[in-house]
Amino acid sequence: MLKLMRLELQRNKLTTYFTASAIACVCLIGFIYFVAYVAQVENEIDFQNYSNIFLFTSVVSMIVYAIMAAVMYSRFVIDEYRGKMMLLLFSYPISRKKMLLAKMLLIMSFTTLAMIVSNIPPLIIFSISETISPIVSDTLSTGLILNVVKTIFILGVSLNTICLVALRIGFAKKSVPATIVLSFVLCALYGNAIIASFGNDAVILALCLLMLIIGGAIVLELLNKVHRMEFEEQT
Amino acid sequence: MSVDYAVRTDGLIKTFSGMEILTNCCMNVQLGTIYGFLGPNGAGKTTLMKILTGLLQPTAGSVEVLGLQVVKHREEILRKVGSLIEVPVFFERLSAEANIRLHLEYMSMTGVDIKEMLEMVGLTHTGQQAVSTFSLGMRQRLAIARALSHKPELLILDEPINGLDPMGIREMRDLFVKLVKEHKMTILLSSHILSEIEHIADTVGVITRGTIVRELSMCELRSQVPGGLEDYFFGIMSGGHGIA
Repeated sequence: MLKLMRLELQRNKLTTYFTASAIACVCLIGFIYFVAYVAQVENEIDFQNYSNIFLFTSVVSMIVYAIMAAVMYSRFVIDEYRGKMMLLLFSYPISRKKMLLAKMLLIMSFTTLAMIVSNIPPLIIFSISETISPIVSDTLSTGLILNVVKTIFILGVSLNTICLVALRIGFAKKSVPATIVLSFVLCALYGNAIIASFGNDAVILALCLLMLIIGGAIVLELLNKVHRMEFEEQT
Repeated sequence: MSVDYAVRTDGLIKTFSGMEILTNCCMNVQLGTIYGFLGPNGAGKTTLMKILTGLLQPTAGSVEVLGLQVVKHREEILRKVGSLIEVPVFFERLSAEANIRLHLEYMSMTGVDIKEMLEMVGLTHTGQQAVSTFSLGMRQRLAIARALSHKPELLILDEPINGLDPMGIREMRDLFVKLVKEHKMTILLSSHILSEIEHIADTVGVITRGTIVRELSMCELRSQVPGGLEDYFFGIMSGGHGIA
């Protein structure tokens, strides 16, 4: 499996996505200050507390990474399983399931890690600058920060399921735009659910489990679909 | 059995949404020979080749490649088969060398001199140039090099000389003959250029409307049809058995 992932990387370079992640991280730092500042100026009560500012930032970051994952899935999976590239990939003595799984694992681990990592600098920098010269008139507690970190992890995990749903539908339609738009829409919906359930561990845990089950089901279904593809393909 | 077969199909049927593309197809390719596969457009040549490489599933009938059932032993067979079916597909942004290197990794094959492979098909000086900039003829050459690179026992080539220049055609002809003689490979190739098949094939199989109407060795053909392959082929196309 590791070998297959390595071979994927030789064919599709990740450099672009690393750059994109770095840019996203810088933008998130800007974004968190922007939200905090505008809320003060405009007297927006909802965003004059830390939990909402952090939540908003992490949900936005999830949307950014969901789009990135959707682009990666389109490149690595949808583009390669439509048209001629399939002829080449299927002529290798490698289980089709394993080949697809390698692609998925690669994208999942990259986007999850990238999202979690790029959320850390905004959180740290903003927290430090707030203790020195605060913009927001709220108190920053360790408990709150821990809750935010927890939410970021949960978002990182859920991100995968959201993109898998988008991938599955995009795959059926053999359409790249469908995949990207869907992942954006689903993210927006899910982000609201997470914001609404912030601090309520039971609900968040249930949501997370649900996402894992849906994600697992989609992976299995798609693997079987690709395994059987020979039956349906006609050129 | 005294003669072993690289490919044997028996009563092979393939239907696409109710339409029979292959009907009761029987193909016998002997080990260590070059089998020329002829037939008009849409007769089912590519479909049959796709079934042999496990890209398509047969609807009915048996398909054996190198003594193994394709349906059950897909991966085992693919390791021993080199193929070029329809248009050559590559990892476009990579160089010719990188393409073959990746191919070998996917085939789990080591210790192959890639430079030598490229030289064999006349692609020595392409260097780091991306395959996306190659002409059709160059792509065809590279595809042949790739199909050969993992030292397969059976080569399945669909229109391998498409787009090649006259020198290329002759080089490939010599290469194919050499591979069979020196490396004991078996080659199954389709082409529309009858003279080409006539030059190199040991056996000729003709397919029309999904059935292989006749398989005949070139020796027999020469003795039975004085007009050569062209007369034979058109004889079959016009409904006869090709033999006057």
